Amino acid sequence: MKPFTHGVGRSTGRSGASLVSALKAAALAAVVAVSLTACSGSGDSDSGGAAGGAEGTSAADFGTSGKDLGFKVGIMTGTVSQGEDEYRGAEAVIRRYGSKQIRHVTYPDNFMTEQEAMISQILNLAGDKNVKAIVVAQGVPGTMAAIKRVREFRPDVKFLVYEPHEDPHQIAEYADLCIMPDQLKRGETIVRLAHDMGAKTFVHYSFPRHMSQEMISRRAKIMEDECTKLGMQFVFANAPDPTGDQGLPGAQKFILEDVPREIEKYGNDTAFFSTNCGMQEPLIRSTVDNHAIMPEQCCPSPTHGYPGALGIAISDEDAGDMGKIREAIHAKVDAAGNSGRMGAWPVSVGMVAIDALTEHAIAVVNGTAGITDQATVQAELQKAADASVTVLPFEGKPNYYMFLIDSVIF
Amino acid sequence: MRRAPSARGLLGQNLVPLLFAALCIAGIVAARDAIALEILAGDIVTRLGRNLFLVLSLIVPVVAGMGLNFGIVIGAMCGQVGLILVENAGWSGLGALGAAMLFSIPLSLVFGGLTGRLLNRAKGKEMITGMILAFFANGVYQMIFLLLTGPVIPLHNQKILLDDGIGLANTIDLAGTAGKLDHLLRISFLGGRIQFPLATFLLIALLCLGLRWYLRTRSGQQLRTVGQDMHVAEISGIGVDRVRMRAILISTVLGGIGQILWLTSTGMGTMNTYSSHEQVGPYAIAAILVGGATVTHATIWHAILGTLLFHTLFVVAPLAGQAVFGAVQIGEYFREFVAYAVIGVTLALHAWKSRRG
Amino acid sequence: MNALALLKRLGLTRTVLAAFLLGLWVLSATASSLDMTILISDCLVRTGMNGILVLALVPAVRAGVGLNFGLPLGMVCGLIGMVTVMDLAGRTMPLELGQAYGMGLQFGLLVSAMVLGALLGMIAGWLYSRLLEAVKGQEMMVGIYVGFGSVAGASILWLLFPAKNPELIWPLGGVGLRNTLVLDGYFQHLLDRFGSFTFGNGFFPTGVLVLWVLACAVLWLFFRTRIGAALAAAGANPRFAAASGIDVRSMRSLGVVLSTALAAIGIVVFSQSYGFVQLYKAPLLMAFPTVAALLIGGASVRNAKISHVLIGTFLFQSVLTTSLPLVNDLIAQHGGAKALANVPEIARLIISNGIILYALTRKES
Repeated sequence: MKPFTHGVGRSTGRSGASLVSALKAAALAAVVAVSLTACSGSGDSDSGGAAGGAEGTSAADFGTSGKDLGFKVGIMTGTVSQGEDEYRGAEAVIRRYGSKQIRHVTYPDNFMTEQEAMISQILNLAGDKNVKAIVVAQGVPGTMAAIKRVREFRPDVKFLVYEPHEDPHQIAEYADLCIMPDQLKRGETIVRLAHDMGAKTFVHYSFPRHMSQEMISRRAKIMEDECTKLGMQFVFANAPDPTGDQGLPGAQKFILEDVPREIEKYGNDTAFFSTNCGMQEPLIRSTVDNHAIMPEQCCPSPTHGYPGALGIAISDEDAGDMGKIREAIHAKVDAAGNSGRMGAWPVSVGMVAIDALTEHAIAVVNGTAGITDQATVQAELQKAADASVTVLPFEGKPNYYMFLIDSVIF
Repeated sequence: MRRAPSARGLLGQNLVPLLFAALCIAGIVAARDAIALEILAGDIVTRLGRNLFLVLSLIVPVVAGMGLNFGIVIGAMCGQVGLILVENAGWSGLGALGAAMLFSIPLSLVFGGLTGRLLNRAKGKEMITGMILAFFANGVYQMIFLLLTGPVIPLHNQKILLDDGIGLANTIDLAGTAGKLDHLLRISFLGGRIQFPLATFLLIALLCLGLRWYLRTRSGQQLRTVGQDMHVAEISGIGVDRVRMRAILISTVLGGIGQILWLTSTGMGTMNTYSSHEQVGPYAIAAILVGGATVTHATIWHAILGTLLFHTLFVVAPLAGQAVFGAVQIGEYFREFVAYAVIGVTLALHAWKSRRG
Repeated sequence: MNALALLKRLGLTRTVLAAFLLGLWVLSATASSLDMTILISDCLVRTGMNGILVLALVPAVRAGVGLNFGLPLGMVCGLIGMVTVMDLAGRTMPLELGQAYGMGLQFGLLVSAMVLGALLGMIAGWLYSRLLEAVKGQEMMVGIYVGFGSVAGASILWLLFPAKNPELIWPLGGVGLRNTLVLDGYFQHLLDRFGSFTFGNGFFPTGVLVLWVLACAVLWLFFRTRIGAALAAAGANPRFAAASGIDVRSMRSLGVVLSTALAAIGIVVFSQSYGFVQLYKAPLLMAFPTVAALLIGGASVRNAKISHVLIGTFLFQSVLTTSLPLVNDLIAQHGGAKALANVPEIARLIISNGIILYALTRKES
């Protein structure tokens, strides 16, 4: 209950070093990300179909549909107002196994101040003795405390955490398995992809508040190094902060005006990247219009930025169908004559992660896989994404993995 | 001089707690498939130990006629400063916990004093003033710990500072003090599902006895007189402003200690430097109101019953909302709605009752 | 002591804030790389954007209900108005890619959103006034919680809202409204751009300012009618008013109804300027800066004039609009710790709440 600030949102800072305003910004960014674009997707298009029944996900609707597991898996996500991916990801898994076998709960919107509520929800899941594994996506603050408490009476429950917000070294001691997208590695892959698309210059849009986040500034450095290695020019461009007083419209307007200026300077074979979710839409729009290059967005789901920028309305029946969405984007990019110069990940990371972690949890409880087995984790991620996925351990931790999904090019 | 209460009178007096008890039961019934009762019980025990001290710290100002002390957030901030100092020094153990409490007391006295002066200028509007004061203090708190810590205020422990050495980190791990009191004398039931932190409850019992004793002393009687009628108190020679100040000081000091207990209770253990104190006031107030306290009357039993009911409802509401509305996330918004509605509804019920009686 | 007398006449808060704003502007013009015309243009847009919301507080203060912290209730009504209109438009006349509705239609949509919002606001305001009547003396406290509660309650409504326009609903779930709805093509910047002209790199948002001043004038005239005077009398001295035959209760009700309906219109104007309709938690804390703006203009808990609205909104919003880019720019040019970027945010917390505190604790004459 803080006046004049967004109390809601997901923190993207994992180092615990983000400033208060960075949090608010993250909140705003998440809000913008979700609303303008909404990352989405599931490689499993059978289960990713129209989710019309989603809100009616009561026990009766699903009954015993799906395979009989003989135990339950708990999933905790945020509400849709913090990001649709994870919530819908959980719903997709419920459609597969039925709500009798998958128990879904949500953490509070202002999870920073309401850890108590988050912990209660996890405790209650663990209180069901048929729940053998719990998937937490994202691992908001409080996850560690909740796991610690559950271990006091249920040491057998497996905890699988996607995108932990708490200190990686600490959470790795409590959780059985943690995974997150490899933001640092993307520094290399994005630049390489741009290079392959024919880019000679790489323009990186950001602003001081974002650059004060460790992950983002480290990644920018990696991008710069990679550019040098490939003989490309790296340009760091300052954009207005969307949480600033010109607001998001101001930031978006700036992008629309600045992209042609940069192209004037460096030519068409310039790749653009922005660290801010709200800027993706104008960036994609002006990249397509000016026949420049855009290898990936900040959050590389096909639903991020593309539908809004290219005017792809997602109809009721196709809601959530990644294949259809990708086809539609491809058609638009092709029509604009910019084929082969735009890219994204084929699916939504949040949905893929929940799908994969749930399947992995089931395999582990059934005894067919080891919880920290890198090959199995990779296989599950690939199955969920229906694409090639790279998995690497994080700083030598045996139960903490970072992953990357191969891009699709439109 | 009490008359034997009639059944109707009893019902009227306990309307609010009865209503919420009914809501809790309805919630449990609605969500019966999703609730494990022994876990619920364990959770409630933990929450009682965690929150009761804070809720009890609200009683004295109510008795003094100052309404519900939203300014308790100031105390909570002072408590956090105590913890920050201890973490900065790198101390740990029960001693460190005690030291944090000791550090918080002089701060609470200073800032509680300022709060008291302000509230004395806003007689009749104490609650809204306290609430805005809490927001204001939050700004000052941020200024101190985000801008001045490092260059002006010499905290040196890099573990609790931001990377460039200016400003405190967003979260501070209270590894040194967390759970120390809870674990001192802990009784475990049902294979660890219920953990009863005896030492914490003993401390709370001590506070209850202390409050009872205090309210019967001469000073406590003066408080009551002021609470009943400031004018009469003034005429009978009581320094009204001084007495009101005393009430706020006590409340602020207790609030500081309460916040330390809350943050270091089992299951918490991390302090969100810039947001942990925010919900303290509203939630503690909602709890005591649910127990049947009013703006003018609050007892220890209201605090205990209220904390029990409010937190039960808080745990049950999302599950009940989920069961009733059929969608997981609606339960979460329902819980939030309940938290806000509680205060509005109880204030309205109180006004309605006092008008009729 | 002429200077002191002058200061007193101008009002302490106003003078301090005006001097502060002047200082910020001088600093921006001399020491920063900011474009002053854009800056001033932004200040004007922000003023017009928030103007009607601030105005919405006046009827409640005049009616003696105090500062209406329950403003989010009205805002929720305005939001319902907007999403209903957008959904109906999208269903009956779907927009193609990059297309926008015609100007006339855009105005139609905007006005219908306002009317619908205001009607809902009146109903909600009437119910709210019943509640406030029951809690006399604690109106502001209860108002805060009514505001919070209505935002949480509305969140459930957004999730269940039977919208069909694909631009409004969650793209993955296909049900419920998104967090932020884009007004591009509907009535984004419609009022800002209406009759606007440019100066330097900035522009003068004529439409939105004219509408605001017009609304202020209408309310000013209203207080000069018999019923408006009765409302003010009921607020200023309820006993005296009752003795002279004024129905104090219904006047207080009227004040709250007006306030809530204006808040509904205010959020529509706010959204068209912002370019987005923000749902869920967005309105939760919007009452606080609004109240601060009115108080900065010189109003008190018991008295608020139209001039307070005009001055307060401009001063407060301009200070907010100027400080952040200025600080960012200064840090970018001269270096300094990253933590300094938080200064405007912290200053905002301290200034706005400090002003409210000052108003609550100052002795009423």
